[in-house]
Amino acid sequence: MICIRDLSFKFQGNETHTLRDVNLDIAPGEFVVITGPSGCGKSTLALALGGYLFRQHAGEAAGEVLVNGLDARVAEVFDLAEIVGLVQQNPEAQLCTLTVADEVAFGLENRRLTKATIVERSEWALEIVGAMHLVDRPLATLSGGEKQKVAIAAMMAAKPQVLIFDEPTSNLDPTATGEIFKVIQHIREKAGITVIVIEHKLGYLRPFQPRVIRMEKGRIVSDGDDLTSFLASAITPAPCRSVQGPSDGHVASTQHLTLGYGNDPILNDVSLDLHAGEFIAIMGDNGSGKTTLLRCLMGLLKPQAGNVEVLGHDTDRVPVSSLARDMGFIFQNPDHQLFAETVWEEATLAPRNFGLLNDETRNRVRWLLERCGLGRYLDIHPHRLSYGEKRRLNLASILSYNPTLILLDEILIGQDMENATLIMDLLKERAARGGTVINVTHDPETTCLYSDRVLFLQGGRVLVDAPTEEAFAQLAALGLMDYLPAGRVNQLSRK
Amino acid sequence: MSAKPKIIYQPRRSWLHSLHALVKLCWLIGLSISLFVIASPLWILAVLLLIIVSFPLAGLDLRRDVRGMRFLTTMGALLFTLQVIFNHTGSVILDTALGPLNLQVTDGGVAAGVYVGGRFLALILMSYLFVLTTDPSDLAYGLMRVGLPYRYGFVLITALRLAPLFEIESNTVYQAQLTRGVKYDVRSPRRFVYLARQLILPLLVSALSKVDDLAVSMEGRCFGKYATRTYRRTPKYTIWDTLALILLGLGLLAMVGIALWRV
Amino acid sequence: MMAVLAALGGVASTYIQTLANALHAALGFPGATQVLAGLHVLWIVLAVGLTGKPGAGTVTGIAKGAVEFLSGNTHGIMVILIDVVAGILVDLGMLPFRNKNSYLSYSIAGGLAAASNIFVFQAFASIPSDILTMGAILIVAAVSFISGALLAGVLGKILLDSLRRAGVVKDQPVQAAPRWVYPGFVGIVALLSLGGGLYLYFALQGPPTVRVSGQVNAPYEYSYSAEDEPLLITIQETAKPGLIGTYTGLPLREIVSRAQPAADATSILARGNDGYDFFIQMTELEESEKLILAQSGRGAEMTYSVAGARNSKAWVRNVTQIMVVGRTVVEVTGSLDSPRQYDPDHWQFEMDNARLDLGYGNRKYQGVSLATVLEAMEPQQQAGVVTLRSRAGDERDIELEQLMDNLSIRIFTVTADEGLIFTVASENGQVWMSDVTEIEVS
Repeated sequence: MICIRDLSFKFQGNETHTLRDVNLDIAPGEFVVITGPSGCGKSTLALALGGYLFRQHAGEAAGEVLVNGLDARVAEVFDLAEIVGLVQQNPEAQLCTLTVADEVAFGLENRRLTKATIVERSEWALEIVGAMHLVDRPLATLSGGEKQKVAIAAMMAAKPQVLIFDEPTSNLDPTATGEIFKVIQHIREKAGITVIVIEHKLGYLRPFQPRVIRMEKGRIVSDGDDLTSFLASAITPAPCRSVQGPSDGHVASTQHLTLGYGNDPILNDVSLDLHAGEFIAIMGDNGSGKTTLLRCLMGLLKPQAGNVEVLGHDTDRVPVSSLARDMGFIFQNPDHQLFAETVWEEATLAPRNFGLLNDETRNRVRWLLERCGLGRYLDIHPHRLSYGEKRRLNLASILSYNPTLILLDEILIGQDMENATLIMDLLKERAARGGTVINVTHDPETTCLYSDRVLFLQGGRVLVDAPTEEAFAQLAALGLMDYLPAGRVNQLSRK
Repeated sequence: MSAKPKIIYQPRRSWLHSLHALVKLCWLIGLSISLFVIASPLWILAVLLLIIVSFPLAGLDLRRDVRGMRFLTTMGALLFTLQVIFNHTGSVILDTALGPLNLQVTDGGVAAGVYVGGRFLALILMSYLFVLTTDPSDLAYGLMRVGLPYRYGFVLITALRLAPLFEIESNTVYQAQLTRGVKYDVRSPRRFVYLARQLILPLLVSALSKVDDLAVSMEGRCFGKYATRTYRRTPKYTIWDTLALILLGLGLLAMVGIALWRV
Repeated sequence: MMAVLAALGGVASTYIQTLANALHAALGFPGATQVLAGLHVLWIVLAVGLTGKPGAGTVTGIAKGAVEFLSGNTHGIMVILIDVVAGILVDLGMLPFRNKNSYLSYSIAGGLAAASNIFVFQAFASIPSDILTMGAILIVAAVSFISGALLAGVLGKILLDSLRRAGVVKDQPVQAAPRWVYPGFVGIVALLSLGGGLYLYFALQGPPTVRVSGQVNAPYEYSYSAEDEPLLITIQETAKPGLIGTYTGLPLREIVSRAQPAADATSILARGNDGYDFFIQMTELEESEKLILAQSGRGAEMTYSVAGARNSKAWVRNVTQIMVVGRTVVEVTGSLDSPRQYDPDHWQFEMDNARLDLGYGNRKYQGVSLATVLEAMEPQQQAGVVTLRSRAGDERDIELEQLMDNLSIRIFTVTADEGLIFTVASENGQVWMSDVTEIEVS
């Protein structure tokens, strides 16, 4: 089905090759997982299979890519599209109409199929992803997981022979992630097509018995690893952190915090106490109010009922600017928080704004950037950095002024293990020196390794608030298995 | 946070909702032009009345569903007042001294006030009525069905699809700046441009990064493969649409006829 | 690409609000709408800069307008028109430039497009010209132009270059902002605000005044105000060549009466800003309803002229001063068969004007030839010398024969600050005697 020979690729303007001498054969009906650290070239490989990589001016290519006998380097993207469907990471960026029905029909309409065929194929595709009930909905009203199902249906409607998923769940919460993988399984059973999943959440893939291909720095470094042993070596089922017990230093609290209108508020009667030195994980489905809670703590959103007290201030009474000096906030998308023209300027932006830029701070920033592996890039435009580097720059930018309370919104999305470890270690150090870290996350493994307290939100309410180990036990008791670390699922469910 | 919804499409079931989007667009454009061509306050009032009556008929409540009604009425009243005070054509119908001000009102001034103020209100309310009762998809697909090249049609649809997303993102960027201590202190044009760049660049980068994804997603579904495409949607074109078009056509003919006859 | 920018532009008002608030705080007053007009155009300029396709501006303009319209913009369907015009102007503004990717081309295109919105808006708001005069529209347009040049042009270029540095856009090398950009803008803004300030200074001053003085009990500065509006009269001149037209203004007698002229006042003298003046007899003033001080123009630009006078020479333009004069005469005595006083009122139809300097700068004066005056008084045979006597007691003799032969020696009426005086002078400017009070023929 797919035959790649000695494929190398260098993007225009880049100095190094993104793909190097890739050789790969995939047979019809195979289920393949491509994994590897961020920037290893796995997404580029997906673009190569769809032919998108070889359009004018994209870069220099060498080698051969055959998809069902078609030469992807010269074939029209449209012809390849009859064979290969590509589902991308961000559901928002791959939907181009306003309603579910239009979206699924889009590709069929472009192929000038008759109306009857379009309707029949759309229904088939929606059926296979289990989204038939969404058919009349406007896309804007769907959740992330539902959007991703629609995106899959839109690709399936063309009945491709190969379906590639490029980190299809990295923007989704564990519940939705579980559902998307069920959809993938369903597609495989019903349609019997070749499936290639680019993913590093390998735990979900175990039931598929996939062929695992590992890439590093543009090369395939292993092919055919046993997933179970691979998982076992990658994730040590270490015991969750021993609990220190809350220290005395009170940092922030909320009392009966409520936000949002009607019967279904975004936050509903949330009462919390946060202490110095705590490393807290906030978990829960998307839409459960995690991000809103963070923004309330930052004072970006004001409570409608109850109150929020942070570092001795009532957030309702003081502007964000008077809190910002002692707080750090990292938002989900790194692009949304890179403002300056160079890495150095970016990392020193906040200290400069706060009037704290002195030699000591400069040295500190230099040390931080070095630590984050950005020491070489001081004069580079921040947006030129890779995704992982941008994230580390975000972190260096807020650690530059030593904030007391650090709020993080899903900053580990799309980060490989190495990056995640570096980021979490830096944060841990800050917590060890009395800082408080609140980390909104979907990742049970890092939570287990780093957090000493877990808050689990559901429907705007605090469902679980306990030391990590105990929290996992409570979640297991509630049947929320998707939120347990891979190594914990069996152990805890057995209890 | 306002409890009132924005002026966007409100799905309801009414005769106005069920009319074909393009028929409504023709009416909107036709009536808008007539407001300028027929420079008569009576006509403006008639159109205004028609619009105000249409709102409840479309299952909409002017006070409940139209945000910014106060702004509109204030603006309309202001335009009216300006004409009344400063337009002195025609015969005097009121002449009073208000303190130091000698207020003279002429019938021509009042007519001009009704015309200009009413035209403003009518134009905007008519637009709102259209927006509230028309599914943007129906409009865009409708335009493509009657010959708008589909590439341009999808520029509109995609823009509509992304707009709310960008609104959220712009809010996030602004909040991210606040947390990093960015102060909006405008001391010079240079500083202003600097601040504007800081705000807009992240948005642009984030938006443009979606362009590539979107292009892959659309081309991967054969967008642009052929010069034409087919459509799943069947426009619901009824006898009422025909009647509405005929009525509009007759009206426009009459308007042109009267205009020519006057010359 | 265009869709993305149209969408960005369509929700631009969200972040423009942020910047508007900042500007508001900086300037201390709201109303930054036009100052930020450029930000609405920025997206169109960016679309043109990013795609480099001709017509991208127009397409983006339409799409942006449609997005705004369909999201309930307060301008309704007009917003599409505003955006389309802006889009077309961005495309057109870029057209003449060979190097389209320059600060100048973006600034011009952005400026033009931003400035257009006020004209489109005025087309549909029809704000009366009393409030929004053409001058005001031009000021607003100028502000919008600068805004467009800076916030759509310069900022657009800066953003494009930033995107290039960021590696998001990979088409052209980055250029540094030329040094003139900011000083240039500060300069243009300073110049325009100076111009605008001056304009406002003059525009806010009311109409100019006409001083009514002389033999009056209450000297009066007349300036047209709205209160006078009911008194306005419109006359039509159909016969007098060169003066045919419609004139509107206050009756002259109303204006003069406000200064309460003395009972023995016999005439008024209207003087123009060029120094020209002419008499109108009090009787004509009293009788004629059609004799008006016609006004034209608005505000500070208003000018006054006498209109409706019987004598077309009395239609003085650009009147700045009206002097009420009593009976002022020159005693003419001696060897004359029919001696009488010289009263300029009686000679006004014989008068001609001449431009000369009689001690008050170079002006137009009305005067009648002394020969004509004496001729009418019939000099006797033995008369040979004419003696001119001034108020100060000076005397000067002129041969009668010389006088009768030389029609250019005239007796001019001069409005001096102290009132009317008579000066005998030649047309060539030679002054024989100022402030003549008596002429004796012997």
